[in-house]
Amino acid sequence: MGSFLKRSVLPNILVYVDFRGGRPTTPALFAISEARRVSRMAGASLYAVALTSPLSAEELEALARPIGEAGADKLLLCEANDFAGPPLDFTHGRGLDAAAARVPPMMVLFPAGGAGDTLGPSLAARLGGPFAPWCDFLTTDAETTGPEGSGRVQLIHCRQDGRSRRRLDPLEIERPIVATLFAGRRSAPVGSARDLETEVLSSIAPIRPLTSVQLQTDRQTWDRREILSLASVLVLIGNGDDGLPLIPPEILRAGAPPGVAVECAADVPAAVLGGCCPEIVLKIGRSPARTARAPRTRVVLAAVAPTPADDLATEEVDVLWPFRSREDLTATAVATLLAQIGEVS
Amino acid sequence: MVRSALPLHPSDRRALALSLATGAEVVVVEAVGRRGSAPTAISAALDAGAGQAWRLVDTALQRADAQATGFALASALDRLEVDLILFGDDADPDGIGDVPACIAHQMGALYVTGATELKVRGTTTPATGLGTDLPGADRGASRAAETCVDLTIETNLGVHRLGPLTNAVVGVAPDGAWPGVPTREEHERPSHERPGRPPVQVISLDDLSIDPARVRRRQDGRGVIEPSSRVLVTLQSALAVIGLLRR
Repeated sequence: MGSFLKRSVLPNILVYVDFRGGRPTTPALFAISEARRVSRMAGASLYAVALTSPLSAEELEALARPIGEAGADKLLLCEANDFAGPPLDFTHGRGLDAAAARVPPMMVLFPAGGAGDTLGPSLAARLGGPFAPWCDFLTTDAETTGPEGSGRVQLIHCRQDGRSRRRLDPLEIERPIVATLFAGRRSAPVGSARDLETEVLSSIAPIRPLTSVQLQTDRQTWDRREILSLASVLVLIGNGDDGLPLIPPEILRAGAPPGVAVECAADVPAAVLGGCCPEIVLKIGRSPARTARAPRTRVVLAAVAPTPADDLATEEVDVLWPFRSREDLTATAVATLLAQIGEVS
Repeated sequence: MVRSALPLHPSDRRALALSLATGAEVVVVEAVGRRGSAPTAISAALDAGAGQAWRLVDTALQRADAQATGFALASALDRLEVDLILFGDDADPDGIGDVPACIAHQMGALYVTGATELKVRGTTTPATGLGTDLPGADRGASRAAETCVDLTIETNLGVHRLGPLTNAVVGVAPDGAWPGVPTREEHERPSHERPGRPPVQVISLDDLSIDPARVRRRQDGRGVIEPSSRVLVTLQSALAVIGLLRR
């Protein structure tokens, strides 16, 4: 009976595609490539889901080509004027429902820095499955004995206490799992340059009336947050005793490689940081700022050498890079690290 | 949802302040999975100005997953006839916030997160109040009938204004410019300092005509909890840090 149920799980993985300027974001392509990796092990089909305002043929080509190269088997496209606005549940949730109805999923994945926080929980509620933010995959090959549980692909989610984690086995849970992934960059295209098969979903429920959306963000703030939310390496600069940043952020920004975002910790709202889940967090000096944390996320703290009384466990630090004094903690020292950190992530 | 006596979470405190600033009557609801847990958080909410406090207490909630907990809470909230439901975005110990989404799903309500500002449109008028079959129903309540709100939300995708909203489950962002946030000192005052503080009402699944068997789940849909071994490594140079990160 148990094996029958396990075989009956529909092996489809849906990946929601965040895009900016008509192109998929880097975390979205990373999420597709990660899904491609695990779908091979799980024997699953990989569908990318894009909710957009109506596209021309050229715009669709620009959107679909990188998705195909990242490894998607098929693109499920929902076009509606309402999708031009910010991704909120009452507008975009209808498109996700249509995609999940068309292709019943085993997993629905959202990339980091996008709409996962907003769309994920409610989609999970409608699908009757769990929502797991900031996950990593735990995979085992056929020759290796896996962890407890029967699936070769499992999801790992860090709990906020930092000392425990949750492991979700799609085969054991037997319900669709909705998860967000961390921000990373795929190393190389795994798919070929081909015409990705695209299916247009037309059966989308009408939007609820009496609801309007108005964008208030100025362009500069939007750009900064975009860089921040999509970064695979996030540098957070704390303040010194004088209340000023330990290192002026513009110095580090000037030499930072792509995918690296530099911000003063005190300037970023917690709600914004909570939507960031980079591969590497480099904290310059201590600050209460906390990003989301996936199991693979590593936190490096560069700070004046702590005293035994400092409780680094509460800061969830993996690597401590101590300096003897404030004068030693210079932009030059940090820039040396940043120059090479882009190659790591 | 509490499994032990915990203080009022900062985000819940902000949600409370945001509600009070609109002039609406505020009802606080807590789901408790263990009998005997002191009503610490909900008492603090009453001290801060909440008009009513309800505790849904049932041991069946202790192992309920998000869908089951959301179903039970939605049943309670539906009977309380509230117009808008606020919750703290980061109050969940797993950082998930899936129970409010399940409540919204059960109630057919909009689900929005990252709220930083709430403005009421229309007038707050007395309305039907609590369902008459709940204990304490004769206390009555004012309800913001035919009232809707404008909402400002701030997420990593920008700041947006939504409105007019009604019948929505709204997550309050963990920080922002909050009008009239009660100070910690105010919350820590002994409860007897607020004259006329209403009592905490306790209801169970039986009161909501919910069979506890419907709330229990065969397994926890959130997965298996395991210890996570994290080792702090101290390195003296940038090159050493890079070397470690490359592994």
